[in-house]
Amino acid sequence: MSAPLPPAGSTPAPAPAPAPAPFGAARIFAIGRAGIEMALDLRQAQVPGFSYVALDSTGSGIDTSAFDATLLVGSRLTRGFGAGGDPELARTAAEEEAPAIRTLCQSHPLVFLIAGLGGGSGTGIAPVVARIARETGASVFAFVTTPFECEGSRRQQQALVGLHRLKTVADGVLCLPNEKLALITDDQATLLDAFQAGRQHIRDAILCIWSLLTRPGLLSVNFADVCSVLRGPNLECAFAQVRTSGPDRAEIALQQLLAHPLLTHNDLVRRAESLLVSFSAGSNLGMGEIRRVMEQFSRKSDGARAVVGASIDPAAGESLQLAVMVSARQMVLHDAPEEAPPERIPSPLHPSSPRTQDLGPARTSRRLAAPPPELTPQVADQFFAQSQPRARAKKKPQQVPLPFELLAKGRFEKCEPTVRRGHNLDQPTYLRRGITLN
Amino acid sequence: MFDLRFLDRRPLVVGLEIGTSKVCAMVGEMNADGALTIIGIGQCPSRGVRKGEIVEPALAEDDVRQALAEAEHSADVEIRSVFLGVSGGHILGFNNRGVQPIVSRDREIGEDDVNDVIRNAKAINIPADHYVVHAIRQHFSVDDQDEIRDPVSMIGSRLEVEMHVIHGRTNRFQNAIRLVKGMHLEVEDIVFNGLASSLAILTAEQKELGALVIDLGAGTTEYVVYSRGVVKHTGALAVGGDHVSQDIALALKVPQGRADKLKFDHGDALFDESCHGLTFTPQNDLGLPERPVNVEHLRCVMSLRLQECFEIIREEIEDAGWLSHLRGGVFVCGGGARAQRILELAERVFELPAFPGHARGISGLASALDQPEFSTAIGLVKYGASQQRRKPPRGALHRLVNWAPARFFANLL
Repeated sequence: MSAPLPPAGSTPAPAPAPAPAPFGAARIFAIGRAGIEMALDLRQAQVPGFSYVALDSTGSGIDTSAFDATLLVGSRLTRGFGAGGDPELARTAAEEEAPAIRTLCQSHPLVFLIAGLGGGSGTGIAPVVARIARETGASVFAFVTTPFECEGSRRQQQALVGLHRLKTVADGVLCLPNEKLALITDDQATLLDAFQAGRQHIRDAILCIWSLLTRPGLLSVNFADVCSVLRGPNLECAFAQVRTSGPDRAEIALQQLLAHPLLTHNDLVRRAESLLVSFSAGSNLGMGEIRRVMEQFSRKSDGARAVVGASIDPAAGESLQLAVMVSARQMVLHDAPEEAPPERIPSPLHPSSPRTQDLGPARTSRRLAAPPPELTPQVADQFFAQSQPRARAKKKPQQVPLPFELLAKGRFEKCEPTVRRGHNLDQPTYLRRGITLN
Repeated sequence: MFDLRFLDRRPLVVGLEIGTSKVCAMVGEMNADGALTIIGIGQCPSRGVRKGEIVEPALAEDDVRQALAEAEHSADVEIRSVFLGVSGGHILGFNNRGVQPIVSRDREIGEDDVNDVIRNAKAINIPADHYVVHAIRQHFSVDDQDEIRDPVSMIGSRLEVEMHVIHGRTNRFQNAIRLVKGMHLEVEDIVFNGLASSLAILTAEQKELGALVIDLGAGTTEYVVYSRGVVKHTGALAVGGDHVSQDIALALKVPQGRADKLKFDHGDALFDESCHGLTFTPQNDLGLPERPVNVEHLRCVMSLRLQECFEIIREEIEDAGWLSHLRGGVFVCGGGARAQRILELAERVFELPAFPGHARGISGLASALDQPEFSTAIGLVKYGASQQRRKPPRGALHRLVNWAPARFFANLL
């Protein structure tokens, strides 16, 4: 793989979303160590039509027999020793392998990416693969995890940047923050249990989307519906699935879902913008069940756009499988990646932006020749931040109260002010109303 | 002779209010019919509380301990558990509706349906750090037939329930609870102060007619709206008597303590021409005259503050749509009810008859019952008594005591 440059201007725009054709097969790209683990777990579900590809930046430890193809990313750049937690390095390596990745994507209309974000390989490679797959005309869904908070803020930041890149290129991204694993497992759970729960969750999500897209439904859900829930760079998505049986199965499932920690966390259902509810049961699936469940969901979610899917699964017997995908506008995180102006994240969709071109050769040559000392990425970052003050300028100027105090707070010094409709009621009424004594 | 009388002790109910101006512990005793008597009271000026919330736990703890000791002494009992009153501007009340389709074949509403619909109504979207203090059942309705008290065994296809939910910040409640538990006392339940006051003051008819209870405390003002016998609206405003003193201190340029005293001696909730140019010359410790105080300004400032407070409450109730339901009038209690002509001010603002809040349906220490400051503490005892009445009979000890031969011996003693 000696192609030195990413395919800068070769394909100017991603292929348009394909017509909602029935998908016969899906290609699963397992990226990075975590992705490979999750793919191995998914493999046990033995879904016909899935073919698996493993991509990692280190050669060791991949069980090649479990995958239909494997690709060592960065065989030249990192000599197969891994990216060392540096997503930029992995990204560059992946760009070098672009032709190989393109070959792997070819003639696969549906591509699922599985990766754990935060490290080098998953974070760096996944957006590249997603972009290349889109360019070949495939539909791309990414299923990713983000690291535990205790793994450090750097990994967290990297994961957020990677997630944002992924969201701008993929058709849909479903993210499970590992931090939320604590919500679905109890406190006594071992590390193995927690990861097992995470893998299980990703597996459920993939199988759910797969069955939505492929199984003929009574209330059918097409590709665009799924995309509408999962697509968007500023969306926070969650997925939950329960399986119940018995006469009150719909009620029980509903109760379980409404109490599901992944959905109740951050008030997601209430803030939801769109909801996808999928019913899967035997031929005894009742209209009343669907109506009651949807009634509750639309009541709880304050008029979110709801998509209902119902399909008959002959193997389901008496049980009902109820899955919900929710997406809501992301709550503002402190220094979240979307705060950064779009120019600062080199979007793979616009590979000809001056910045990526400038830095591209500098990065690739880093391992081969001594890098020019005056242009390290950090320096460049500073330079670009200085030369592009538009990020600040975009913000609407806001009048803030001046810091000095008009009146001593006296007795209310230690407590928070009583503010009602913008007035601080701790200040005397006569002053606020402008009544002068005498 | 072995003293068995302690077994015959009647159940105690203790209400503890950790207020902004005072900590008050009220001891009530229930007799065999469940009637309530106030047998002891303990109070202590509060130093560690601002706006109804604890800001200095160490000071607050001292005050609570002193109040409880005084109450124990005055009632000659040992206090083991309390009903704790909570307040603060963070407390919110709202109405919620739960719906449950009746799915049974014969469409008869059963106990399960009632439980389910209440559970649905309780599944509310409150912030994650909030705790539900009260979820009060209001009315059921079956297929749009409203105002049903007990829907069990009615026929219908859709059961709904209206609930009033009062919630607030969990951590703030925890502060008070921890303080009490630190003294090795049980907290049986926490009660919203406004609700407690309304329990103490209103009769069943007044609740039925529709009434507004305003508890003007030192740090917070709580209000509760009743209509057709149930709580319809509650709220707490973190503005109270302290604000009046603070305003006076700022306007007249006197220290806080002096402002407090001036408020009690010369304050008035209404401001009119009669006090034009009125001044008051205080005397210092030596009997010498000091700088005169402009009483006109004092009353103007105080009246504006109290009027604003009532206006805010009026706005809130008007927005919630309950103002036209208050046929029973407005009841004012708490320390603020002692202000001159406060009832007239309330009548003007709400355009409704206003009454002083007196504790009702309870007997005991006359000194406690007639004072507006104690309505919350008395209400806490009343709330506690109603909870205890609902409880099933106690455990083995109680059965042993009520066992006929044991009672026979006890009577002999």
